[in-house]
Amino acid sequence: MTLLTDAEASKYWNERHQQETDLRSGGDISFDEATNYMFYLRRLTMLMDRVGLQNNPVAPLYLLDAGCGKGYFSRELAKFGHQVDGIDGSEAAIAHCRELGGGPRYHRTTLSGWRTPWLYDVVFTVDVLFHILDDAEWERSTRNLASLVRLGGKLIVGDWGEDGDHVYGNYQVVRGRDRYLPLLDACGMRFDGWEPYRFRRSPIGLYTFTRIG
Amino acid sequence: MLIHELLPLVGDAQSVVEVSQSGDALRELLRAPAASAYRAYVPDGEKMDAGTVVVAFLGPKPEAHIDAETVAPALRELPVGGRALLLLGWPVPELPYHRLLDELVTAGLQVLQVVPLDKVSRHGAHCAVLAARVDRLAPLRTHLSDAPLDLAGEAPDLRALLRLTGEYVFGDLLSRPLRRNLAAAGDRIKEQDERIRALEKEIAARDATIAKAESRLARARNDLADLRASTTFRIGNTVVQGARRPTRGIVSVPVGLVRIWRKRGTPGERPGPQS
Repeated sequence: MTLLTDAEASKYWNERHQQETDLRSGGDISFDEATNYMFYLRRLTMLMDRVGLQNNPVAPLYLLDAGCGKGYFSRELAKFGHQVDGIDGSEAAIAHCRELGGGPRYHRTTLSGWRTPWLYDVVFTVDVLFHILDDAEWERSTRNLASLVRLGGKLIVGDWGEDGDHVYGNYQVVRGRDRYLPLLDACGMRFDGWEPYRFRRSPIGLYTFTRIG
Repeated sequence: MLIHELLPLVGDAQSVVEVSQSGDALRELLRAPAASAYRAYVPDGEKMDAGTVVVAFLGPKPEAHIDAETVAPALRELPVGGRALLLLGWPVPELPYHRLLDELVTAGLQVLQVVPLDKVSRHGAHCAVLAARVDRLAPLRTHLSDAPLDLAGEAPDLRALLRLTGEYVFGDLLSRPLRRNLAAAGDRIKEQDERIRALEKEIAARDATIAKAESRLARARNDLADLRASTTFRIGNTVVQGARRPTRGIVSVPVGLVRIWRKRGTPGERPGPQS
């Protein structure tokens, strides 16, 4: 099957965010809204385990939600007292996020294009990188996200835990640990582990890396 | 983080040495475990070991806090592996850490983490410094980490130190315009506060002037009403109205004068305040 071009993928996601319900649009489209709610909660608790259970309003943690879609994770993590930036390439999704507000700051940008003078305690990208179909853009995005993590900070990536790549449909290319580990090791990130979502038959899980150099 | 979460963060404390002399206050706040010996600091007293944690409450109020110079001798007595847990009574955005940092570095302690605290109004401690006496760099910790200290872990390697110094240099550069902007914003707020106070004074002076004018107006209205109610004015008014319309005046002037004469001795009808 021929994969979508960058322009087609961008159009696809913008239309999907306009047409689909809140969680289904950025979640798993094969599930209904209620199931997607469960799926989002499962991943949120996994993020909490990695971000930690401490907060402070005076000196908060700074998080980047890369590929925030309609902003579910950004808003929920902002409720915990963290300062969250949400970035996404979809104009419709960012407009929706800004309309809902809730604390995070949203910016329309690609993952490879986000520039800021501030580093983050945690950068997370949940089920987004496998929607970047072009390998070179995937690598640019992954490198850019890693560069935004401060020393001791974490990079959390949602993708599958096997070796090798696998194509699903015409808009998903999952990439395995043989891609992530060497690339991020070269970026000064230590691999801490991969944990599957254990949600229905999802093959995806969270990689966690810590910046050590 | 809650204040009683701090001692578990420091790791196993076999003995806790308090420099503040707070009585039981600090011990209770920290909920020092019964298993650890808790004692007040005595200069050159009982020797400290690697299981010792020096605790103190530093801050701006001499009646409640001690200063960096007072805690320094205890820090210098800590052997390698000994730790310090220092509560600070200054708000985090205004933290004057320079004197304390001097003493910590002089005593050979590495600052491992500065933990902002919750419920400040209850105990007055805004944050806590976790530090340890080291002879090599201890593993770096992250902001809001709640894992117990591990001094024996892997020391940061050259790449980590390069990253650390790089982040410091860039962070230092970026903090400069922010510091300047913050100071400028502070100056603007001060100027605006002064301007607001001047305007408030001006408004108060105008309010006083208005009150005086209103008082004068009320008195003038009373005088006018008294004048209009007087017999002299009513007779004069009747005659003047008659002179203006002589045809009617032939009747109205005598009738009016009779009416005034009948009502003599009774106060005249005063016009309303808006007339």
